[in-house]
Amino acid sequence: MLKYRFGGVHPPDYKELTNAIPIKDASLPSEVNISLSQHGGTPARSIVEPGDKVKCGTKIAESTGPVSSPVHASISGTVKEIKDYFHPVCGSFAAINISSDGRDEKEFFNNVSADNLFPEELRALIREAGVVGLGGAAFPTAVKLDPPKEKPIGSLILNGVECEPYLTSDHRLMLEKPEEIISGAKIVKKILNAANCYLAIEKNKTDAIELMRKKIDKEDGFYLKELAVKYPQGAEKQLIKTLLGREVPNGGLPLDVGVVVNNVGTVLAVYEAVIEGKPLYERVMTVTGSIVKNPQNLRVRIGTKFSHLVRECGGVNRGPAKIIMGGPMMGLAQYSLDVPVVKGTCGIIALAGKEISLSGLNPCLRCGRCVDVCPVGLLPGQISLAAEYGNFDLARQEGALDCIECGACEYICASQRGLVQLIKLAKSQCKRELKNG
Amino acid sequence: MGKLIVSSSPHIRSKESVSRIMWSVIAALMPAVLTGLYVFGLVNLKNIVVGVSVAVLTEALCQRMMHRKITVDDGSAIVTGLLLVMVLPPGLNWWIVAAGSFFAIAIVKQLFGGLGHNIFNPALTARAVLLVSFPIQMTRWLKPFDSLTAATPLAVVKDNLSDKLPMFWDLFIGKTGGSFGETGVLALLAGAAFLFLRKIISWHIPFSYLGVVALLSWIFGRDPLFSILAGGLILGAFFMATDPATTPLTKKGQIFFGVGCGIITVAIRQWGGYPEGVCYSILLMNALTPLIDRYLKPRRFGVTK
Repeated sequence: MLKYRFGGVHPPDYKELTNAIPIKDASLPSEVNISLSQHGGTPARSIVEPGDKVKCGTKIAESTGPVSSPVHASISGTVKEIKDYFHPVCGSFAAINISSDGRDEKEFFNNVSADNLFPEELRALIREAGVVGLGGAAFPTAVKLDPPKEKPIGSLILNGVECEPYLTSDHRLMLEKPEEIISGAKIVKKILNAANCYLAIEKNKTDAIELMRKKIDKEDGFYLKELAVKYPQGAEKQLIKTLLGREVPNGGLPLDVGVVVNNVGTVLAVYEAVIEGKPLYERVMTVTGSIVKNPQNLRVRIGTKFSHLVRECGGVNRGPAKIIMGGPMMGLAQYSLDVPVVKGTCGIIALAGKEISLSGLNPCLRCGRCVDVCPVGLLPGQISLAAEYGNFDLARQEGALDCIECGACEYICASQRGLVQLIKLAKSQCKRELKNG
Repeated sequence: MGKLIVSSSPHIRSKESVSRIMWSVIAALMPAVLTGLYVFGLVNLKNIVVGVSVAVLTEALCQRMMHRKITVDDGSAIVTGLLLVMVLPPGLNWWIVAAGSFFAIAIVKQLFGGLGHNIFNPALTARAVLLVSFPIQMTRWLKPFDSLTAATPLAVVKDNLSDKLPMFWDLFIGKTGGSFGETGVLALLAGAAFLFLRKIISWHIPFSYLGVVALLSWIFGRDPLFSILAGGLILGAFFMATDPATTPLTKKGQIFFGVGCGIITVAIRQWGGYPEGVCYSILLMNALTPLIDRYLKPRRFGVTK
């Protein structure tokens, strides 16, 4: 069994809340707010006007540059308005509001036979379908699958690690759509002309490992790799190190060591785009947390409000609460339940009471636990001290910009010090200073 | 739905806390405290009360005066007070204990910035200061189970009175002269084991420290086991040299720290004027800690030299 050797923590995973519950289609919302920024690359530009009729899958915004991705309607109905709405990442951003006609009519691409397509054509299809990385960062997949010629890709890594606590949507997808995931991976492998494909799963997903192993055994160049349970092993560069022993150089990308990493959900979206002609207008996510009445894995239309999904799961038992988009280690706390799902939303977690960790500017004890658990070899406590005293040059020298914000340091911090927030502050200050010369 | 709480990630955390660490240390010191009371008499209870309460009161007072949050409930001042009493001679005048405790908290800890900001170990610094301020009282050692004074084992070695050396077993269970809390090796090791199990301390400092002392003692023709059991080495290695605030952050740095302590301890015991190896070795290495942290950093991911 493989294991990432540097740092890491073992938070309790709470996956038992949802890992045995099959994915269910969430009920159709009466309206959706589809943000023009689905996070990752340049925002899209709207190509519809208020009053336009759209079907589910109709392109409503087009990409505006090389690193951008089009956006599609996720329900059928009428475009009501285009204005700023809550956005789970940006806070507020232009979004297209569509009100449902309740008919859920679909508009897919023309079906094509994937076998006859060249990599360029496959990439174009993936780009046109608006496929982005569904692991959370939402980087346009077509861009990732277009590495520069001088950097050939030898290996594709399928990320089924899902090391964030609570989240189980990738786990369920592997159990429910194994063939589609493998087909999607084959398409990606073909585009990249990669020799090998490694599927990485943490060993707490025994059933998924067993099932995928059976399916993968029949495929040439596919390997299943079982990983010990440890956070943050699912981070792209950490995963490459664990599986292949290669270290992505500081400031570089996985393609610098001949690797592309895709989330299992992403290759499923690739499959749906290429084989079924289906644009990315929905995704699977986990709605969970101790105060959610019926935690579930839901297939959700992009633009659905969080409040709709929380209701779908029976509501919450008590408040006040913290609503997190994403996992509890790296996710973003939301200030409203009116925020809509974006493509990068892999889960909604509702926590209350003692579960909510609040940290502050508490004094650093210098115990060094943050140093022990840092997966990228930083001294998080020292960077945080530099940031606290406004010495951002020192923070940069100490490697603030290399921080992956995994939160392991703050998870273990005995002082409950707000390390991640301080390091994020240092990062934004350093970037601003670099920009201003 | 009530108000939503918004804060930066991560949103969950481990049960680790400063008070959990400090109270674990207090619990781990208890066997040695009880041994000390048994061996040197219940009268020493007074010094414990004085040392701890002066430490706590001083901390609260300083924090109040400096407009800092009062955090005496985290237990760190209690640890300092307790450790100080343990490195002082049993039966020491209570006002010397009080002065030391005040000095440790007010000067060494709070004036340097409070928890985590002090460069030197407060209890050991206070001990060093008391030793130069009250040399006579500070070197009057009691004989176990007796209020007569007697030489400590290390002093015996220093004066070449080898026939008066205690047996290893006496050293191990604490039936020897010395500071109040340092002689009960067995009790100290039990407490240290507890700290290991709770992952409050790691092996890096104590084992490199003890290893180097044993090795160098053997090279210098001393009995390695005697060198480890005698004096304050066990207390120092497991409870003083592992003080998080004043020791290096990285494991590499901690090994370096332990090795340095070991070398200095043996050097002082071998060539120094009096047997104060452990205390000064740790204080000297405390001074080097910022430098060690600066030069012994972890290897950064993706960075090649």
